[in-house]
Amino acid sequence: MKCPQCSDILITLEFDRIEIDYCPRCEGVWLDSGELALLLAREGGSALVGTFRPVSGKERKRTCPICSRAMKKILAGGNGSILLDECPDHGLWFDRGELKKTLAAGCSGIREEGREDSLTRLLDEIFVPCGEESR
Amino acid sequence: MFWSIIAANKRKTVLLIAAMGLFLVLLGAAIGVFVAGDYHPYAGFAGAGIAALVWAVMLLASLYASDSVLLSISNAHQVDRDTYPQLYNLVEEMVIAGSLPAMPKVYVVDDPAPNAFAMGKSPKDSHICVTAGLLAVCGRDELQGVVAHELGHIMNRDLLYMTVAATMLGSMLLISDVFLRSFRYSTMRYTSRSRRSSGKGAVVILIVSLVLAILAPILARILYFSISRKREYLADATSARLTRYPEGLASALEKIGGSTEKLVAARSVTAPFYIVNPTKQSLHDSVFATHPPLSARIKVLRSMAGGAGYLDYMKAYIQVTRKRQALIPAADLKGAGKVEIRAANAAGPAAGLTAAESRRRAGDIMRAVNKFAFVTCQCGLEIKLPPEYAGDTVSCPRCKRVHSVIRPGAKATGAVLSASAAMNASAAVRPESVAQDYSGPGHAGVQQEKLNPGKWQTITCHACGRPYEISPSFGSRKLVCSGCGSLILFSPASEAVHHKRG
Ligand SMILES: [Zn+2]
Ligand SMILES: [Zn+2]
Ligand SMILES: [Zn+2]
Ligand SMILES: [Zn+2]
Repeated sequence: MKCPQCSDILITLEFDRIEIDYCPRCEGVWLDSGELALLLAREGGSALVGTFRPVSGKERKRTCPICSRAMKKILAGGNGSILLDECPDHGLWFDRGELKKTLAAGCSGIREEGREDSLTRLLDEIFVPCGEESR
Repeated sequence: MFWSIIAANKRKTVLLIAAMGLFLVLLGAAIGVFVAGDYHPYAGFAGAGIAALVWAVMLLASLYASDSVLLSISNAHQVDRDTYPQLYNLVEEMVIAGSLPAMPKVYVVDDPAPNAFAMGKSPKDSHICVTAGLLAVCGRDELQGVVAHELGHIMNRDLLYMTVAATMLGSMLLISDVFLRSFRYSTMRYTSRSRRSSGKGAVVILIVSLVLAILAPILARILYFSISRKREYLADATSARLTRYPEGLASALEKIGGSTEKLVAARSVTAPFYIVNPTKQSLHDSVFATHPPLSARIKVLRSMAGGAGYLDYMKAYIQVTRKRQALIPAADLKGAGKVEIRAANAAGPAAGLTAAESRRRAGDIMRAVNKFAFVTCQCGLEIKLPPEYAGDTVSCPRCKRVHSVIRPGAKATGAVLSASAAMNASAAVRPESVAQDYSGPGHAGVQQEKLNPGKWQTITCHACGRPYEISPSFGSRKLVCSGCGSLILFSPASEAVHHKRG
């Protein structure tokens, strides 16, 4: 699979049973549609998908790394501040940092007392070097 | 060998081809008369001719191209001793046990649903396919049972019949579909015409041809499906005898039947080839079922108390299904010796794998087949590199350690073994263990290890003998051997306890 942003080859990363496709050059992340559902089901954050709204973006259209068709622009997050690319059949593309922002937005709504925001923590675990872990 | 069953299978194949040919020609004639009979006196012959042509093309296709067509429909990737030794060696073992004349080609099907099928016109030219999902959930004993079942189909000459029947069924559906379409198109024309032309005769032809067109696919289906059911029991009997361990297949069937994954690659025409019908999970017995109910097959296998031979299977079969008619003709049972049931190898993966976990395992097996390189970083992050990845090194996005990439490449086991020996002299490489990698305990598709959280642990790659020290903070569920690329999966000790035993 090629990165929709910079055409580099995507590599797959797995940590604690979460699998993402990652571009080593631009640090963008591709999530298969099944994988996103899995992530969200695990966190009870399925409401996140409900916040997705199609939009006609000015940002350059990108192509799906699986089917090479143009992806749709969607807005995500409670206040609709994050612009993502979605292939309805295959998954979502997040530019650098967007995945973390999106998940933070998706989980803030469902956070109850005692519930840790483990998705963002997990992403921290993937991308924050071992030495800098604050736990 | 079931010689009389093999002979009967050959006879039935010829009969089926002839009967279907005759049926198609009649159908073609009826369509011809119906569509254009009023204008051309020879329309019936033309219709018959066209149908005969379709039949001949279908027959040739089913004899010469069907394997490759069906394999490509099914997303199958061929593997050999180098690319997937665990599976290839296991097939080879069973081929030797069944004294087949040639090694079948072995394929892994890119599908997370556990299933398997075989194809081929003769035991000299056959194909055996298992899905990545099957490799993910089955232990060695279970996989062996499934492989032996498929070899049973090959040995009993079931596949030629099934291939021809599948293609013939396809062509019948095609022709009757064309007919019903033309019927819809021409009814209006027909009613306006009926008063002035032959009246009664035309109505009779219309009814006959309609009945033929509707019946053809139904008849074909019943015939084809009812025959493939008995074959499943026979192949199960062969599997029990070759593996000498009926519980292996029984437990595999249970896992296949219990899976919630839907087989993506399955079409109804290819359904009879699979070990468990992939299109419908029907628990009850119906005329349209290509396979006998799974529960009955499992029960028969588990009722084999005395031994693993054909006689034991027969006894269990009669006891479970209460059928009087002989499954295996008496002539074939002569000289069928006593076969002792062997002890179990180590247990396979836990029966209670979650759907997500087995899907991920299946994905990794498919990546291994597609020559991905795997790197497990000391920080616990697993990095999977597609063959297109150009660099010789990869830096871990989490901890920035730089790893060199060992490609599985064409040279695979043997060559990598020496390369790795040169690269890392400290790794204990034991070449003699390569030959036994597949007979290591408890792993089929991949090596299975239990993880003891919070403790240091030493494990050894079964394929190349390289030792690993697993740190107490090891966070990953798997490790890819940097010596030979073999996949080693870890399950927490608690998970493996739930393994079901009959
Ligand atoms: Zn990129
Ligand atoms: Zn797509
Ligand atoms: Zn690392
Ligand atoms: Zn190894």
